[in-house]
Amino acid sequence: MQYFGVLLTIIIFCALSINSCYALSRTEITHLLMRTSYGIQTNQVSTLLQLDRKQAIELILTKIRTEHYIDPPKWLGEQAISKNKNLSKEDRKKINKIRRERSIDLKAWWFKEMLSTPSPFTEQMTLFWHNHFTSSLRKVKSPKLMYLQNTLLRKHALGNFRDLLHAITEDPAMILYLDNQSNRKGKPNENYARELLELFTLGEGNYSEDDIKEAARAFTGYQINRRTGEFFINFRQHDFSEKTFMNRTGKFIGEDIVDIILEKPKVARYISEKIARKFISAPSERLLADVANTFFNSSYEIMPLIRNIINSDEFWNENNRGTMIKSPVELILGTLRTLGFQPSEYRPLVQGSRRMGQDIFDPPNVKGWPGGKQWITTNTFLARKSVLIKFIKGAQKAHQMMNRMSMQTMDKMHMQVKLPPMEHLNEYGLATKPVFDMSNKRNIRNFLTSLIHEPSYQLK
Amino acid sequence: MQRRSFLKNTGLSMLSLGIYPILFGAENFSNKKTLILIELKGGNDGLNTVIPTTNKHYLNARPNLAIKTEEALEIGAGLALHQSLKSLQPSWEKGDLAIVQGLGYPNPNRSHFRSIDIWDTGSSSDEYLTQGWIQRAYSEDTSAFEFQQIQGLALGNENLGPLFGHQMNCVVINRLQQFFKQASRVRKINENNRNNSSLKHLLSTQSELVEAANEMKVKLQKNPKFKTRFPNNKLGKNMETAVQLMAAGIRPAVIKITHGGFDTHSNQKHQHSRLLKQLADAMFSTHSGLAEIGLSDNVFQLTYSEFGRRVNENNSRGTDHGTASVHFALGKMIRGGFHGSYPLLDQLERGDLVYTTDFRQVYRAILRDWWQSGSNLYSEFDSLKILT
Repeated sequence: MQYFGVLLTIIIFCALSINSCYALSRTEITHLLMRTSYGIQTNQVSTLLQLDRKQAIELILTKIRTEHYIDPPKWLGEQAISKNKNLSKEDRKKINKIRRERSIDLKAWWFKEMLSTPSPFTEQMTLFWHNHFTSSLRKVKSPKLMYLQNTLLRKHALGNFRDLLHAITEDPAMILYLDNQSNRKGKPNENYARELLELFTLGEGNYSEDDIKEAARAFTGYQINRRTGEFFINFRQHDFSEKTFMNRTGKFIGEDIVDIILEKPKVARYISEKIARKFISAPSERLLADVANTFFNSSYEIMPLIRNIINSDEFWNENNRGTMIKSPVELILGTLRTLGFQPSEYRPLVQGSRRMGQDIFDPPNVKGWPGGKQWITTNTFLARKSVLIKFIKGAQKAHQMMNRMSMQTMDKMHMQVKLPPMEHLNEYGLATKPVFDMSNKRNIRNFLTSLIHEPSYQLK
Repeated sequence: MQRRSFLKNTGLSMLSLGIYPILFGAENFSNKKTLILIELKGGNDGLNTVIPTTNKHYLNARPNLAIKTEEALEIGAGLALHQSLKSLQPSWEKGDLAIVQGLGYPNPNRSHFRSIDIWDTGSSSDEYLTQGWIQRAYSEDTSAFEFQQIQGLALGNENLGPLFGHQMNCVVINRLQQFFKQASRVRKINENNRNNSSLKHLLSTQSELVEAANEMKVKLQKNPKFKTRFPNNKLGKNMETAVQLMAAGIRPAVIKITHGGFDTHSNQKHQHSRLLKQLADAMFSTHSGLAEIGLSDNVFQLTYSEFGRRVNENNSRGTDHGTASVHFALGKMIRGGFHGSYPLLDQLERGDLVYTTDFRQVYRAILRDWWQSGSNLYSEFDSLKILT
């Protein structure tokens, strides 16, 4: 009886102490993986079941990569093909065709990377930065430069925001995307300066129009060499005269502008809030202020910021689970990962994601994908279902061919791929209670189709 | 052959005029105004569409591509329509066709991607907006748009263009049957009381979709077929779907249709001629179809494009990206004739035409005179008097 009392005290005590010392439950594992990874794999679950929250988070954060895992397309080693005005119609067509092919190649490669990498979290953050420091193939027109930007974003994805910002200022794809190539002394183009302040660092309302004009002058001559595709400062086009930016005067160049911007705590707030909202649907003001502080005091280190966010009570709060809409990339990769399916062709993933409204390497505009509820329109809603159904059929067909199964023995696939039992809905990527009754499905095929049509399957 | 059947059908449509509104349920449609936007994707060569056939600068700039007076359809003011636009000639003579000249904007951008963004969002050249201009007008005054379940419809192309944004209820349909098939797999859900706003949004989208699809299906089923024939190509088919839906009482405020292939950098002559014929025939059929179903007072068609093309032809018998261009507005409520002025061919900027009319003057006219919207969007522009 006495023992029982002690035990009860311990249980209550642990329950009250935010039970971070306790091993994760299956629903918590689902929540963690859905927000930091692309879907759930059965073998991951058994590992994580042994760990508590802190340990699980550390496991994810220590696996971080700074380079891609899958070899990029081979043509990246080749000399870039330059287009000149005097080409014949046939040559022009040929070059355009090659460029289109390579663009799709590049997109397919990133999908493969995201699905196969041992650190999906790295890719989550790389995609986050792609949506922050946007550039698009449509405008940049060089798959190679877009690839280089992608590797840059990955390298700094969980590093230091100051380094990332300096690097992106000299990134060739960015220079083309925001027209800095035509930002010249006497003829400034303000596009990069404007977005640097408005979208990349401070947010609207925290700078003046004059700040934009002066910053633009500091970035004059930041160009790429059209032949080699490399960055250089063209001193003949650079405006060396004095600039007054944010109440400071000097013969600033671009780097100085970036450093002055980074002195403002508002940058830390703007960036850390955006990151917090990636992981928590409605973070409190208290949390946002807290993480902004951490970020600023750590001189813009991204890893501690994220550790802070994912370890917060708000991240784990039950009311905050299954409250965000999966992005097309998350939806597609999550489904394939759960099914344990490695496609032989990645182009259908590119096309499927585009149909759902997320054409990677081609965001709709400089603000990127708005995301959240805006992922869902009547149009993308239908696309989500028809694309997933196609993938499931494709996965089944591939399994059948591999194992010479007939349509009737679909359930064998269930065994072979070691899919979780149908009762373990969490592990199929359902973060919240389904709207429809998911029990009593006759077979796995039936079950998977219902899963696609289950509204909460769209949530993470 | 095709021409003759068009004329025959117009004759028939005159007879049936007045009967159709009754057949279609005699709703009061007087305030429900639809705009059909036709995007000429790739940048249409305005100079070879409405042609200054006798202008010496034009003839000099285009040794291979210039179209001479005898090859074109004269419409006065020293201008002529491209021969392929023949089916628009009756509308021009009747006063249903407006030719808007020199449409463009200051500091023109010559990138397809950026320039169509400027037209779609209705921004200035140095302004980056994320919502389509119609969505923005909608957010200021919803009243002009809220007469239908579906407020915007894009046919045949995923790109919503001026409808891009998330306030209006917009549907994209590639093929009608495919849309119904997909929608039929979706169930309507009444349970919507969970404390989860993302889930609520999903469930309400799902309900909207099921309702829209059902409404469309039911209305299309009891709908008597109209007789107007449409050209048998992608544009013609999409325009037919648009008229078919409107005949059935599906009346979005905006229908956006894409007509692609205008990026004529090389050997432009044949391709451009083909595209213009498809355009004119489809517009004419739509015009006739609308008359047949009694909606002439409520719908008009407008073309737009990211830019026109360079005045000088290039070395591949084509034309490169340019700036200002000419556009058409067609409908019974349109004030036919010329609007704006033709850009001067001897006063070019970097080899390109200088715009004479800002495209936002047309947008202003649509907002104020067509939808009677209370939105102040583009109130700083003089509304172009294209509507009667």
